[in-house]
Amino acid sequence: MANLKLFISYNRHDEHVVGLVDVLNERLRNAGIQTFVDTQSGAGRIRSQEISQAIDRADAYVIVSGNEAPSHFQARELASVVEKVWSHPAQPVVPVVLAGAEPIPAFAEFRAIPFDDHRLSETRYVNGIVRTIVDTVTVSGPRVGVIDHTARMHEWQTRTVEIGHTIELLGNDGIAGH
Amino acid sequence: MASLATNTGEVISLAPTVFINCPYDREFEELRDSILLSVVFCGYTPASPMMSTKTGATRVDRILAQLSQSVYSIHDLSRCQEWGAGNVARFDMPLELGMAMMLVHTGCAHDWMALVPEGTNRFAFASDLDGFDPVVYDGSIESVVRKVVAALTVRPEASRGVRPSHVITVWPEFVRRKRDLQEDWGDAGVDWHRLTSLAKQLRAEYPPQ
Repeated sequence: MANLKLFISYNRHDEHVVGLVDVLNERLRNAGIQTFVDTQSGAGRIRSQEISQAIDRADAYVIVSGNEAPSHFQARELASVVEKVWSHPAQPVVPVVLAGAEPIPAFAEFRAIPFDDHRLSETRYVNGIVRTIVDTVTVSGPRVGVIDHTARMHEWQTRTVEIGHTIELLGNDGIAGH
Repeated sequence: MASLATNTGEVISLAPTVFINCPYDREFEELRDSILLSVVFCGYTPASPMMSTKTGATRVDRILAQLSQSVYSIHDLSRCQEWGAGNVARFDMPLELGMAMMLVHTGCAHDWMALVPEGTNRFAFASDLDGFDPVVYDGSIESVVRKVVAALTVRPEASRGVRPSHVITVWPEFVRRKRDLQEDWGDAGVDWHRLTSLAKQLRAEYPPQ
């Protein structure tokens, strides 16, 4: 897991998701995962090249979304992630969606983790989200290559069982669950 | 999605609009049509400066009105260099891109993408766009469809499950039916509205899975 690279995308202007991203970034790094989170505001050619490289090198993507539409720059990030996933269909994508908000259409096929931004101070609750992300991105391992649709469906069914097992272990309080 | 009740009580869904700002010459026709088809497949209604019949307003007024009513705009900057018989650069497209950027700056719920062909020194011809990174495509139908679908499907109001392959699969049928329309109505008769209707008809017949 030490070499796993995770790209986290979020809208820096959406106050409901910023707190979660900060906590996730810290906990995932503590878990030994290399994360890339764009925390800088504004644009710049060098910055956009860094982001582009981070997307290209990432093994998995966490897409955090709330009620706000993606900003211009997040939309560009997401479009790059979508193209990467089209080219590498086995790359894990984990949408993390504010409770009550709609997932981003391009990632609707992936199992989303809902979160309640009022519960971010609850360690067990946040740990449950982190655990689910880690389980999801490590079940198949990074860069397992392009697989056909049937194989992908099987893979996701397997992942769903694994995530269900995590929920059982942590209990409903430990997970953001439906 | 917004809706409209007709005087017969029928409720019609109004798809959010995407403004397409691209060259309207014959050479660019296929790319323009493929952008239109991509926009429709992603669940949007395409708008164009060419579709407005409103009289008594300047062209700039009409374009601004269309832009401000659109949630998104696509600006192809292919002709911003010497081109065609007159060997002139076209400034309409960057002008309209500037209008879209100003809309965003003034708080309108609008976003945009700028498309440039591969090989263009985009940092030199539009250095003010530094950091905004125009989207580069290779001039092919497949490439522009991929870029447009990627940009639109990350927006909250887009249809789910749309892939470039859906558009590419339907593309030959779009071309065939457009040719039929041109035989029936002539080139001038196949206007923006008719092309949009054709694209929507194909989307209904071949819905994204």
